[in-house]
Amino acid sequence: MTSPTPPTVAVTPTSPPSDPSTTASTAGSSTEPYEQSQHEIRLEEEDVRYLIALVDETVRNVGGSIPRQVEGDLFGGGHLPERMARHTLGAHERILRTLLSSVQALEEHAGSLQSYRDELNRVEDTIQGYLDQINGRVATIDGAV
Amino acid sequence: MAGANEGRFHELVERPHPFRIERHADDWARCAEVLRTASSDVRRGIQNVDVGGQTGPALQAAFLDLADVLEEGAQDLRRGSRALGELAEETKSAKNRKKDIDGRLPDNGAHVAERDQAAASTSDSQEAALRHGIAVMKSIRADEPRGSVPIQAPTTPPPPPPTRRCPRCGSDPCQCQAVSGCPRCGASPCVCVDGPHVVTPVTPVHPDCPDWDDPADFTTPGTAQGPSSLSPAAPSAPAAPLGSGVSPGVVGGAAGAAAPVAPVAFGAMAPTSGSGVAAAPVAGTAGAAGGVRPIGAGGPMGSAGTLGRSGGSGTGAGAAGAGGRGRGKDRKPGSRDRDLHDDGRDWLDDESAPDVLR
Repeated sequence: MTSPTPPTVAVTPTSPPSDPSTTASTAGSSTEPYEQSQHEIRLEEEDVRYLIALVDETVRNVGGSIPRQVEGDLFGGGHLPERMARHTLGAHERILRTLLSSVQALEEHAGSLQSYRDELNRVEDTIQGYLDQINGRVATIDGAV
Repeated sequence: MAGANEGRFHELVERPHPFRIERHADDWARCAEVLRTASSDVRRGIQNVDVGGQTGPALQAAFLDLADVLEEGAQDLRRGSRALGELAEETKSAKNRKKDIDGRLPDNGAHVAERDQAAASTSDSQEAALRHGIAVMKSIRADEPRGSVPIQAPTTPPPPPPTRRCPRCGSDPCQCQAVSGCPRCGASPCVCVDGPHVVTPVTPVHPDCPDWDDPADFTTPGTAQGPSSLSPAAPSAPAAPLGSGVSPGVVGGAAGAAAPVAPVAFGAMAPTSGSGVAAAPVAGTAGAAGGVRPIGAGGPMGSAGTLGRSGGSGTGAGAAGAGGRGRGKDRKPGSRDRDLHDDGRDWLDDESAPDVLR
C-alpha cells in the first residue's frame, strides 16, 4: 500500500483562515480562528488515522477468511461427485475473486485516506505557520510598546 | 455384491470422505464468521468518525458498500458451509445404511436382488444429496457485478432437500425416492409402496421441473458424456491457481497476484493548479473492482470522485467508473434465478467456469 505522490486527493478538509499577512492587521492579529481550525483538523486527522487502521485490519481479516480448497476426491468418484467437487471449487473461486476485489478496493481506500491525511497535515502546518506569524507580530508590537 | 448397482454404490457411498467434508463445512463457516465480523466492524467504524465536507458522506457510502460486499460474501460462505454439512451428514448416514445392509443381507450370494435394491436406494439418496449440494454451489454467484444484475428472490422456491422421511409409511430414512410431487408443477406423485420398499427411480419430469437434471447425470459413471477433468488419473484437484498460492498473507499483501482478477487501473491522478490546500479531487477509478467503489472513484455514470470537496480549480473527472469487474458476458439478467435449479443445461458452464482442475 503506497501513498501516491503527489496527493491523489487534494482537498481542503476545512477552510483554513486566510493568510494573516494579506489581511488587515486588526483581523490578522487574533489567533482564535486559527487555533479553532487547527483543533478541528487534528480531530479529523485522528478520525482518518482510525479509518486507515480499520482498513488495514479489515484487509487482514478478509485475507484470513478464505476457506481451504476442496480435494477432487472428497465427494467420491463418478460423475455426480466430480460435478459436486467442480462446483464447490467454482463457488470457492468466485468467493475468492470477490474477496480479492474487496481487498483491492480497501487498498485504494487506504491510499485515498492516506492522501487525505497528508493533506490535513499540510493544512495544519499552514495554520501553524499563520499562528507563528501572528505571534511574531504580537511579539513585535509588544516589544514596541 | 454382484448386483448392477454395485459400482454406483461404491463410488457414491464408499469413496466419499464425510469427515473431511465436515471439516470443510466447518472451515467455510469459520471464514463466514470472520467476514461477518469484518463487515460489522467496518459498518460500526464508519459511524464513529466525523469527517467534514463532502468527504464524510463519500467515505460513509464507500465503507457501507464495502460492508455489504463482505456481508454477502459471508452469507455465501454460510450457505456453502450448510450445503457441505448436509452432504456430510447424508454421506455418514449412507455409510451407516451400508453397514446395516451388510449385516442384514450378507454378501453370500443368497441376497443378490435385495442387496442390489438396497444399494440402488442408498445410491439414489446420495445422488439426491449431491444434486442439492451442486445446486447450492451453483447458486453462489459472489462475483456477479453488484448492481448490474438485480438480486431477486427466485420466482419459484429452490428444490427441497432430499426427503428422508417417507410421507406414506413414515419410515426414516425413506427407502424409496419419495417425491410428493413436483414443487413447481405438482406432477409425478411419489410412488411409495408399503411393506418392502419398491424403489422408483426419480424420473426427470420435464426440463422446467426443478428435479429435472442433465440426462448425462443418469449415465453410468465412467460413461458420462462431457469432459471430466477429475479423471481417475488425476484423482485429486491439482493445486492450481486457486488456493495454493493464496494464503492470507498473500492476499493481504499483493491482492490480485494469485488469482485471475483483472488488474484495477488506478485512476490517473494529476495535481491541479491552485494552492497546496485547495486543489480539487481529480480522478475516478476505471472499473473499480469488487463492486466497491473506492473513495474518490467515479460512479457508474462517471461522476466525479467525491473524497473531499472540490475546493479549487480542477474538476473531478470520474473516468470510466464502470464499477464492475467485466464479468458476465455470458450471463443474462435473471440467470441467478435459473442457477438455483440444477437443470443441467449449463453443462458447458460446468466445464468452462472453474479453471482449476486442469
